Amino acid sequence: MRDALRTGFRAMRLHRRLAGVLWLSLVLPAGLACMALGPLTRQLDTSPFRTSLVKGWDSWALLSWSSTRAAEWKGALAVVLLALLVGWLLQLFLTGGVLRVLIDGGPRPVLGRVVTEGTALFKVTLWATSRYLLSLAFWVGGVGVGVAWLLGKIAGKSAAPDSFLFGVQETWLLTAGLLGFFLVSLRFDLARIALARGDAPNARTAYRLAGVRIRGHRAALLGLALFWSVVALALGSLFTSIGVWLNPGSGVGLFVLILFRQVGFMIQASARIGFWATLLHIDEGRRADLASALSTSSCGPGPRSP
Amino acid sequence: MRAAFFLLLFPGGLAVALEAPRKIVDYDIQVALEPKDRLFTGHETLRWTNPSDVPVSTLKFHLYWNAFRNSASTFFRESGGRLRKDRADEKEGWGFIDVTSMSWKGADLTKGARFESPDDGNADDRTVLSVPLPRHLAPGETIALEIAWKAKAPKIFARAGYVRDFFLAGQWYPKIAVFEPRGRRRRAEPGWNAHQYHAFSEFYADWGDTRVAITVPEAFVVASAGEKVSETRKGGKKTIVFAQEQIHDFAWSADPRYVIRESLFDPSRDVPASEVERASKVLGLSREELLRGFHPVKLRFYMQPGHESQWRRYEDAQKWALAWLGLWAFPYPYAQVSVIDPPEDGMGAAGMEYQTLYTAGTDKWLGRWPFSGFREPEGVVIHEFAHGYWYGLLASNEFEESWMDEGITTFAETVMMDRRYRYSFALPFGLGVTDEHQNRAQALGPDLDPIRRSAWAFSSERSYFKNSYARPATVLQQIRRLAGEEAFWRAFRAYALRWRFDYPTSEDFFDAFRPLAIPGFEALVAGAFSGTSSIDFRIVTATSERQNLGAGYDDAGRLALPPDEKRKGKKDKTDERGPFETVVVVGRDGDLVLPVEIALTFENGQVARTRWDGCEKWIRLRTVYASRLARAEVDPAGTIVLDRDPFNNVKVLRAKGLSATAKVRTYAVHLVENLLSLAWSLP
Ligand SMILES: [Zn+2]
Repeated sequence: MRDALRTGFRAMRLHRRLAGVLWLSLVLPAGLACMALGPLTRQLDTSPFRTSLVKGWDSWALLSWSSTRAAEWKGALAVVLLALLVGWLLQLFLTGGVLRVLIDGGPRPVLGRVVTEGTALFKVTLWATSRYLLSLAFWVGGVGVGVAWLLGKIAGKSAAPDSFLFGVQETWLLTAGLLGFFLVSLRFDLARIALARGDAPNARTAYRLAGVRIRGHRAALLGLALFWSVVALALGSLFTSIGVWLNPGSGVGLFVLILFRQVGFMIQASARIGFWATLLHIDEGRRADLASALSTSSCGPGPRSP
Repeated sequence: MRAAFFLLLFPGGLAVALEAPRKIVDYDIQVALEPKDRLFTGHETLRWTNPSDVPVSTLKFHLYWNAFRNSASTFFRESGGRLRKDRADEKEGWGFIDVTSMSWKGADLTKGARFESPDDGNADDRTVLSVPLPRHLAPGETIALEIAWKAKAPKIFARAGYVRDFFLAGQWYPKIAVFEPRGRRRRAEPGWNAHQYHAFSEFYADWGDTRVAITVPEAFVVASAGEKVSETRKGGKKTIVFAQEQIHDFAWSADPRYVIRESLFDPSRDVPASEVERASKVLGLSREELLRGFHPVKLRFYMQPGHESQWRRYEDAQKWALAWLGLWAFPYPYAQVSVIDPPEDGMGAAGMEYQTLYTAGTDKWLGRWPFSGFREPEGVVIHEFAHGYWYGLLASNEFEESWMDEGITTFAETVMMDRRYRYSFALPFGLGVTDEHQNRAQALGPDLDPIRRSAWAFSSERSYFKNSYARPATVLQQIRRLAGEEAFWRAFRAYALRWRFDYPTSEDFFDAFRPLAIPGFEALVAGAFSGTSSIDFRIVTATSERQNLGAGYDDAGRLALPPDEKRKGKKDKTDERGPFETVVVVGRDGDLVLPVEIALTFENGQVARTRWDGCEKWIRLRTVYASRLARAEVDPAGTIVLDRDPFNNVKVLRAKGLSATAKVRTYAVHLVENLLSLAWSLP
């Protein structure tokens, strides 16, 4: 555990360029969203709210803006959602390349390598992603929500809202839902690592390998994932809070805000590199363990599929 | 413990002497609840006095629970079995009320009784019962009726009924309708005011004393209007007697699971000094005058298990409402308030006003971060308790003028909420939206109905809600802005004081404000209360050019070029030398006429302000001034809260400083980045 974390922190320091590449998956869709918000926000400078908005928050500005310009808001929101989707796909794309670079080290330019490797891996990553989404639907949607629904049915209409079964239902939804989400996501991460290492030729094999590697190490993996989640969330809230607090009133101030937030996102990106490095370190160990277990059973036909 | 302590401080106890200007109907009711069958078996002695100067030969009764009798009732036809977000259970959820006997001095009155549908002629509606009397009842004569009835509680979706073992008995007994004498609510001829129970109508009743003996299985906790008089137990059942003088509505509730929390409103501690000071300044009354009539009020909160911790939120809002309404209207006259917290599967009963008792409503999630910034529980308490004034203590006719209750209540709610909590929806980082702004936003957009209209006569459910709540609340804010704080609140308080324990009508409300000669007031009465007028001020054009004098032929026949022509190709500082001719056209869309201010800000920082009466559709302002116009704005102070579109109120010719567009856009883009980076916070 400690070793894995140390590797993660070292990677944060070493691979700043990689973090920069990952940061692009925020900046590019953000640019798209910025363009979409253009026509909507342009009205603010010619509105009575200009002064109050430069000063800070204005409750009536927001409400009258959204209720008198509902159609424009809907349009802008649709593009923002599109930007989010693009950003997510971009992250999937870049992560493949990032993993390859983390595994192999290798020559610069980093961006070129990430794009090349990401392209090579993208198709198979998409396959793995669809498998991931199916697992999520099954474990979180089916098992998580399904069991909760069943509990509600068992409790029946005559149960009071605070009755035991509803309490179990709520706890189940929170814990099992979150646990399911983390485990399913970790297996997807390990499958992507297997693909990046070239251990598996396709998504199905990668998923199977990930399943083998995760077995018996769920707690450790969960702990590490949780650690990096907390780090990322803490960083995110810190930079967001300071960003809101900055509340610039001048062009220079606005520039400082933009710079500050992007530095924050860069640091968050490098925490993501740390997460991946940690996972790679664990995966490396599991891979070696499994290989040695394989070599001791000399007459076996190889690892049986789980 | 705390209550006992304060009782010591007020040795007179909590007894409150109520003035008794009206006493038209007294009820003495015995009712037994059989929870398994949801059956209420009741008997009442009803003493009614003919308040008019004409003899009365027929009595009319409201049998409200027959709204839930079947799908043919007017309530069901209008609502489709749905109110707010709640649906009726059309399998087992039906309810009814049947009068099994009615007699006067031994004479059976039920024989000639028949159902009436004065509003819509629906022959299947059973909510208004007309009972002919064997002889005329002389003016001032009192009749004592013995009435027995049986009622089955509907599954809650509209205010009253049951869910599991939670019961809410509201408008649950045979209630005599209001016989309005000449002059009441400006009536020319005396007569019954007895409307059917409609999907969107509430209630109207006469003043009097009510005493109710409630029998329930011993395990049940009973919450009721009025003060508890006695409690007796026998054979696994208990009978609790409650009584209250001077009310026109009596509701109660029973649930074995209630967790009771008690508190005391102590004026010496719970009326904020800052609010007294504010009221004193605005109303021109001394501290002593303002606090006269305040007395301790017992507060009881009947909480659902799982919501216990939220009673403090209810308590804070309740105390604030007692303080605020006490200062800006008049001190609450009763000795106690009971607050019902309905279960989450019975939210159809939530947020409903009765007298000295009301239902609040919350969700267990609202007691937890990050949802605790949603002030829904406080908002409901403040709203429903305020109803205790505008429907309770001023007995408005909610059938015919729903705005007089819902609208004034919503207005008072927005003022109370925003003063106490600032935002009704508080978001992280100090952001949020105010209650007034939320209502104002809902009031935007075109209308098909005037505010003043019978509750069932609106074009749609949406229109009923808009014109009973958000729109009148916003129109009152408009009157307040036009009148100014002092004038408005003095008239508001005078209206409350004049009509307490009485029956106001819209005209009475308007008359309280008429002496102030508020500009635009009659336009609002005609355009908003009786019409569908709207208003949208906008800057149509704004130009500011170097004055073009002296171009063309002069008297000597010489041709002079205009200044723009002269400077062609060479730009120098002299171009910015005045004088400049500024022309601004301000328009008014919509047919509501209100006065407004127009402000012209020049590049040298000077601001020229003009008032426009808004009578014509547009006005042109023209001025020649040393500086160029930077910005033209209509209604710079945001006085016209009914303005449909504030975004067209400004024309900016030259702006200085940071762009709001750039700033908002930057934060919005950061929000998108935040959402995307969330993916990095998860495995
Ligand atoms: Zn209301």
